[in-house]
Amino acid sequence: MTDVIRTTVSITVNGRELEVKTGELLIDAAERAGEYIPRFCYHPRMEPVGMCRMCLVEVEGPRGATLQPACYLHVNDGMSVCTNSEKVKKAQDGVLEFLLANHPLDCPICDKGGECPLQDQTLAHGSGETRFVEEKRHFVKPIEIGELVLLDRERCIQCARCTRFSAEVAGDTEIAFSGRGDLIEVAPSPDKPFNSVFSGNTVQICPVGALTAKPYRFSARPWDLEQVESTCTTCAVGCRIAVQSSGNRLTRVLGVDSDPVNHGWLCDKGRFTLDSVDQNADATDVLDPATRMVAPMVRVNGVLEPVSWGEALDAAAKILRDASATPEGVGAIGGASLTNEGAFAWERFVRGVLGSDNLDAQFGDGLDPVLLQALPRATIDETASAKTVVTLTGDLREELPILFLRLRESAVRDHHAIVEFAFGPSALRPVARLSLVVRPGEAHLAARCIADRADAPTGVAFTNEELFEARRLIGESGEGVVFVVGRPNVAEDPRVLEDAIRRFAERFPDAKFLVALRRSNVAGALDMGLSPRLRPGRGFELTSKGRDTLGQLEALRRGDQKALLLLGGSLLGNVADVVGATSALEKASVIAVTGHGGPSLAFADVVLPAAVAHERSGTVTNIEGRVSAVAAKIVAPGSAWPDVAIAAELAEQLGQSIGLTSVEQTAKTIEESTGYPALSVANDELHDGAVVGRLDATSLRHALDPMAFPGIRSAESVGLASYTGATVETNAVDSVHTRPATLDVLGHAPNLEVPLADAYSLRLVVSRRLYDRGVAMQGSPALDNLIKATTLSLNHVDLDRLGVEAGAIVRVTGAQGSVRLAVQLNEEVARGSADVAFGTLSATGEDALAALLDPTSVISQVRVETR
Amino acid sequence: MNNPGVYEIEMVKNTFRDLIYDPQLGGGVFEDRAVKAIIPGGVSAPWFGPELLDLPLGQDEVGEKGSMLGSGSVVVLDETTCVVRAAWRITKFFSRESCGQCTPCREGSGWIERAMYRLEHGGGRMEDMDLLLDLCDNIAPGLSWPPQQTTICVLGSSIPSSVHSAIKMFPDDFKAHVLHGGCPHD
Amino acid sequence: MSHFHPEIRQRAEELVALYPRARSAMLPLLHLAQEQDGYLSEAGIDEVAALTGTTSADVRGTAAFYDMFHLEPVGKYVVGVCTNIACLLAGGEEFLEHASQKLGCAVGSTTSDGLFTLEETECLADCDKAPCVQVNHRYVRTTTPATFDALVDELRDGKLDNDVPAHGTLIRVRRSGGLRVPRQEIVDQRALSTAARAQRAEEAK
Ligand code: SF4
Ligand code: SF4
Ligand code: SF4
Ligand code: FES
Ligand code: FES
Repeated sequence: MTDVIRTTVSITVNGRELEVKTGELLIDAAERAGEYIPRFCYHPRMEPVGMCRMCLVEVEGPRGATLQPACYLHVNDGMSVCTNSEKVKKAQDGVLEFLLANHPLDCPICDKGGECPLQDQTLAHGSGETRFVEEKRHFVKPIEIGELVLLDRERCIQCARCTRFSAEVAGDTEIAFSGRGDLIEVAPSPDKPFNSVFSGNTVQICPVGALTAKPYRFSARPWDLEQVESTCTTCAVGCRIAVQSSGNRLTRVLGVDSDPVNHGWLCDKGRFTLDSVDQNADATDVLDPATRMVAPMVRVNGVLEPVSWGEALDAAAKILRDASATPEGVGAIGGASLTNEGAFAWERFVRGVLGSDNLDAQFGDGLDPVLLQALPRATIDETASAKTVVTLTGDLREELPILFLRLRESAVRDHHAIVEFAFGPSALRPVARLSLVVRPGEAHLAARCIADRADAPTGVAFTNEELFEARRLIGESGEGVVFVVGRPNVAEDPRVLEDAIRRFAERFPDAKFLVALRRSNVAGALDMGLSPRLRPGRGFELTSKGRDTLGQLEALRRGDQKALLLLGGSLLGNVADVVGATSALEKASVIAVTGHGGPSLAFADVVLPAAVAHERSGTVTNIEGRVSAVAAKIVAPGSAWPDVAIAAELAEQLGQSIGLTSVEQTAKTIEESTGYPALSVANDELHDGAVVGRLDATSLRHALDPMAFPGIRSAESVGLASYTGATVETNAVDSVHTRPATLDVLGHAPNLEVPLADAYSLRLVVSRRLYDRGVAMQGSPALDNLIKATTLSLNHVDLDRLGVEAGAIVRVTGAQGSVRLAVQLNEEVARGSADVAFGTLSATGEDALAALLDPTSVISQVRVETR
Repeated sequence: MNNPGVYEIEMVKNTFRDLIYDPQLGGGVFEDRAVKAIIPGGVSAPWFGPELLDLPLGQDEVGEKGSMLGSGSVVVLDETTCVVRAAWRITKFFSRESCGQCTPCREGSGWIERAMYRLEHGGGRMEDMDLLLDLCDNIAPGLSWPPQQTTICVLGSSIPSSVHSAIKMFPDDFKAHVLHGGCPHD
Repeated sequence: MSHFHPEIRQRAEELVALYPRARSAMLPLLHLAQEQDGYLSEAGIDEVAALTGTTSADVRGTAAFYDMFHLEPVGKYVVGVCTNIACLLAGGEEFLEHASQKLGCAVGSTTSDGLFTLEETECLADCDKAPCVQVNHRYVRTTTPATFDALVDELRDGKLDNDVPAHGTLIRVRRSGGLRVPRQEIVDQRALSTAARAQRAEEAK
């Protein structure tokens, strides 16, 4: 027998009886019933504080009606509330007047002017005349509190939204209230600037112009801005965004509240790297990722020269025709930066036109896609609500920032257990229930021990106690457990992690998996078949002998493969083995289809300029398999084309057709031929997108309360159909046509030979940083200063053993050379291992990875010389 | 007072007059000055005039008359005291001690303090009294006792007590400040 | 590595152990940091943050709320003069003005020799001795300009070094022989009550 739990209570608002959710806040209950109570400090995604007192309403009680803050009051059965009496109005007007007392008369020069909740409320309710004749509070005008954020303390209304965000949501508390009374100010610690990777959110939710973002300041007026809703493709979380432009210039990206994904938050990389798209019209060096490709180019006498599309396509076709005499002669690498439609078009081109199975959207830095497709998948929501989450990833704050926020919230607010495979430093560590320390080459051993209830073998970093606790938290069948799997260490053979993942999947049949591959639309590209053994719509062809990225690079070096189609220009920025990749490119005929420059273009024979994010429409797929729409806000520079058009024209040039003519028709073809819900979400009727293979593809578009997300025009006013509470039906299918892979298609697990570590070496962990030297960052002057030089991070035990001080410069030697790095103390690095950042350079500009990686071994080991 | 100090006396059995004039207790007002007002229980308490000197020192008795014994610290304002200055200083205390959470308290206390300072120092206007009362009313609606709250704690609703008392009991002192262009006592 | 001197560091760790959550030890630790440096230095704040598992911004924000914590260096003697209502009526403002002249520094600032900082305070709960003055948070009960001047001279000459230790010194909470209750006892006691609570919760189920 179960108790009947009442999920609703009834309350009376302004004489009207309402059924509302048990225990919810009065301010929310009233809002849904159409009684909007004014507010400043309340934010639906954070705990209420009752600071501003703007939401005072009259509530009946034993001592008669009293004024109570609606944001701070949970509904009770029988509660009677009045939100519009004279007394309420006077109290609210009084609060507004108090807020304005010390507020400067800055509107004409204030960035918030035109989208300012304080300004709006004042216009709507204020008396129009000030009774405040005293001297206002004065502070030095905007001070820089971080690399990206400025604070004007005079404009601050002390709502604590920014400080709550910092402490409660981001969890890094880099800013806090300082002082007392009307001298309260928001302050970072003087020697620790507010450089949180989430800092931009505080600017977005500040209800006044107190916090401004350096990149946006004075760049536009809200009424000049046009907006579309879209999806961030900077990483694979796929946060919903509003993209705003003034004319054909991108001005701002704001977070839109998507319930299943980002809750309105964005990381600073997603928010601020928009200048990499269109701020670099003057950059011309094709090797610089900041340079936009504006015209097709062909290499003439060793130099890339701009040519017409006709000439470029002709040159590209010639290369492909020559090389594809044998299907082995050509192949394509890349595609994670494409839309699903672009990926589908190129898949058709490579397989249908070139007849080749050599294609891969990963750069050897991911995981076996067949294994991933065979796993029972979890959504982000399911992960955040799982009783136990096991992470086998790098630092999620650095890799998939908003996923980190969601998991942190689930641990802190809902007390769910996080079991971390601790490969190195991780921002989840303070909230994890268990951190099971694993050095490179040990993850599969730990997984076996957990699965087989075995003791830890000698010499490993994890302990029996940790294994015991992990088993306890995972349970017998893995029910209610989600494994988050990624690639924590690019210097480790992926088979180590793959083996661990497989063990878990086989041993815990009720567990689900969230595939945390980090790059942009890599999930969509794989779903569109950009991998030798995958086919569009999550289909398989397990007999395929096509080459993946590392296989193609190898074949190019051997001379078996002649030509390479690079989809996106960032190969050299993303492979671990840069040395090997470079020598492969040197030998190949390379056609690069890319919107950005990059070091790989040094080897390109033909460059076909493509439209990039915010310039193209279509769909993308995030880590959980959620397909959502991306929108074109501006027109691509010069003569760049969308990928579908480039693939179609190139096929034409080769005398064939891929049967695709436009993005919309491609989406339609995808959906019709595979059931993959591309068309259903392409025109953005589905705000939250649809998850592949799920039935729950109905969606609720949140009303955008301008108080919660100032600056974002409501869906309605930008011409999107659905609005508050409207539910949109989709024709997304319940499953895709093709048979899902199961684990037994994988065959035997390989036997991994992990070399024994000698006493003098450290095992190398190469982990990802959010602020790396990737395309987005390098093209973005706004974030340039935030890229840190890589260091060698060590545990104090190893520091002592080596006899070096933190900060010292040491020579580190690996399989392919040596490099000078500064030593950093970090206790989160496992003993016997050393952490180096991927995609960043040392303080002296050296590429550490090129020297230290051992591409022939399961793990890489390095030695440290102190002199 | 002639004998300021801390005294332990039985509740209700004694009156304010006893406390102030008993030679064993307060010992009378300094230089035999007349009582202008008493603050019966700390700066949060609304003031009493001399007509209530015979009120017993009891919670209920004081409560019925619209104030409180509060902390039990009784302050006597004698005839030479400037009530504008006294009320200003009390408001300054609240302004400095406001934690800053609730807008009405944080901003209201500072505003009232600055307006009172202006009155005391020569910038007063006749309309200031109404303004001040209305600001007080926006912090503690109705200006009743016990006060209604717009704030999370009672520091906020304590702010109006002194200013409201001073204006209500001594409007002429305020007017004199305005007409005199500052404090007539200086 | 530690900014705290060994003895302060040890007291700090003992304090942290007294609380179920390290964060709760923040205020006592700030007093300790102030005892060592006379004010809250950046390094002191950082160490408190590390000891309490919080951040420097958090600690600084908390400290900035309280008048007894100083985020900037102050004099060896912090002189506080009350001007709240009882003291005001007894001439507190005039007294403050006099103190400012005698010390030669404005209210809220420090003398150029770094010896005195003058503060205007709110009620110090010594109203019957109005106007009330404190030096380093100790009542000094000087109510006339003449006695105040004499006090300042004595402080300057170091005659009161034994009575009024330098700013920050926490005589009243210092226990010369360590904590009165041995730390282990407190820890054990807490373990017992935690267990009892858990058992009660278990029984309630
Ligand atoms: S924050 Fe709003 S009200 Fe204040 S100056 Fe800016 S636009 Fe005006
Ligand atoms: S800076 Fe903005 S968000 Fe932060 S407390 Fe002030 S008004 Fe609120
Ligand atoms: S977390 Fe990823 S998707 Fe979200 S804003 Fe950042 S880069 Fe974009
Ligand atoms: S107090 Fe309720 S919204 Fe600020
Ligand atoms: S008013 Fe000065 S000590 Fe109380």
